[in-house]
Amino acid sequence: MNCRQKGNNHMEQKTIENSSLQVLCLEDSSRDAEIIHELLTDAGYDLNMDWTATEKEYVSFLRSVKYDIILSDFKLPGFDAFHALQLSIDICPVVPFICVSGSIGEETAIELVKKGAVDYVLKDRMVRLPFAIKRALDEVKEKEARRQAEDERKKAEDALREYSIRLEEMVEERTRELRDAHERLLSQEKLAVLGQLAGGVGHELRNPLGAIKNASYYLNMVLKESAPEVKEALQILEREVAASESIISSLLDFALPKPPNQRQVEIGLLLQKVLPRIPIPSNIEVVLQVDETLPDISADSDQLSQVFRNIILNAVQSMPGGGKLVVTAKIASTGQLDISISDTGEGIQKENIEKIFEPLFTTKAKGIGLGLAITRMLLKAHGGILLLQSEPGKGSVFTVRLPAGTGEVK
Amino acid sequence: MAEKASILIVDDNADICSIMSLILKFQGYTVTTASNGLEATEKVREHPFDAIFMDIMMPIMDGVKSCKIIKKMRPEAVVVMMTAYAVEDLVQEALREGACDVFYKPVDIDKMVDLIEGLRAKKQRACFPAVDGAPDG
Repeated sequence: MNCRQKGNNHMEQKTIENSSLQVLCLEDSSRDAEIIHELLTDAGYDLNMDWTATEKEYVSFLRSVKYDIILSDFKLPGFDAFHALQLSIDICPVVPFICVSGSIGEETAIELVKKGAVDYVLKDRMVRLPFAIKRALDEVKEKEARRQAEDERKKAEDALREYSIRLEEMVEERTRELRDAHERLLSQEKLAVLGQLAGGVGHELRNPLGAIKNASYYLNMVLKESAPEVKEALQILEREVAASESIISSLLDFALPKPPNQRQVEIGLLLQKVLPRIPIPSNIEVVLQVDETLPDISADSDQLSQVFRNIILNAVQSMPGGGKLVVTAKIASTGQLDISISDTGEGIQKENIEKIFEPLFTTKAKGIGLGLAITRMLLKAHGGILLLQSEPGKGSVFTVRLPAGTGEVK
Repeated sequence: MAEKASILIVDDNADICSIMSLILKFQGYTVTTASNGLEATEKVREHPFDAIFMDIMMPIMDGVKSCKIIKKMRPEAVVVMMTAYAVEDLVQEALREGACDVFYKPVDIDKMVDLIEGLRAKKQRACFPAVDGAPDG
């Protein structure tokens, strides 16, 4: 007999130029197994057949080899085709199971098919076996193709679902962007209206304020020898006029910015002039460090003075309990001019870092919140930028970065 | 010591004219006032002022137009524009028409006095005033 038990029970193979077939044959008659082998080889299969009659070996084969088909006799020592079928379904559910038996009644056969066998072949009509196998294999192929198609459909559906989710997200994002843009626009419109109003009011107030200022100047001049109370009243008048002037100037600078009148400016000198004009309490130590090799730049000295005054005033106001104010001017590694104003004050809360540059935002009890917005606007007109580093509780460093330029007047 | 300068203040706000006049007179200058551009040109025709401080926005005739007429009439005239507003176009036009500077309101009296004294010093130094007062092209 050609058939061997497990391990060496591969039947001899005939090399046929046809499809290969891995068969597990569950058969207690070696003769029948041989017939099956011969029949299938003759049908043109490049056959590789394992043969066994015991349940234990059958299960072991099922677990270790990938079969194309299982051919099972009905009656086996200690078990039958129903049991073998169930085992095959449990262990390798896609492998087709054909019952090949000499003594199977029609009802049993139908029952087997109901339980999952793909076909049954009577031993006295063994010639039908190759056709049954071919049909079973075709069905497997078809099932596989259907499964693949189903998989692809599912994948496409998944992709579509994902895309639809992403689309929703994209729509949401775009809507958010549009809403933000709309809000920005509204806010800009509001600011524009405010600007016009501020410009008009500022203009109208500057004339009477000018008259008041000059009147107080005159009184100061002619009442040189007057009582201290009179002098104090005059000082109050002057201070309050200056405060009003500063508010109006802020509004007008913001509403109707003047283009910079650029001339040659020596930054060190400008800082030396700006600092003494700012009221700095004695509990604040002031340090001015200017690199002597700084080149002159082309700028509007009034506007730059305003920039530094705004930043230094903020720094001073952030140190109500005293501290250290350091102003340094040097050439940055990028070749630009860096003027840093650092304080040891309260610092800026993280959530306010961006907001402090927005017009009308203020953290102070006094002030309309235009200082830094104007500062940034003036710097922009000079081709410069304002950088900020801050740590709450430790202090802030504002850096004015200006293009070095040639210092020649345009 | 040389005679104190004569100044013309032109502003449609009478209070501004009065108070500037009071201050400058107190400092020894001769001060004349006008309430609009047209009145200013008439005053300039009668008298060559050392310095003219003129508002830009005024009724009847604005400061820019008045400056133009004054510079034609007296090319050596020193006209300083005063404005409460950033009316850049008008400011630039006035400068083109021969105004020598622009003061933004509220005008700083010290700055005004510095300018007047600077002019006087220049005038005293100059051997040939005609060269000094040559108008811009």
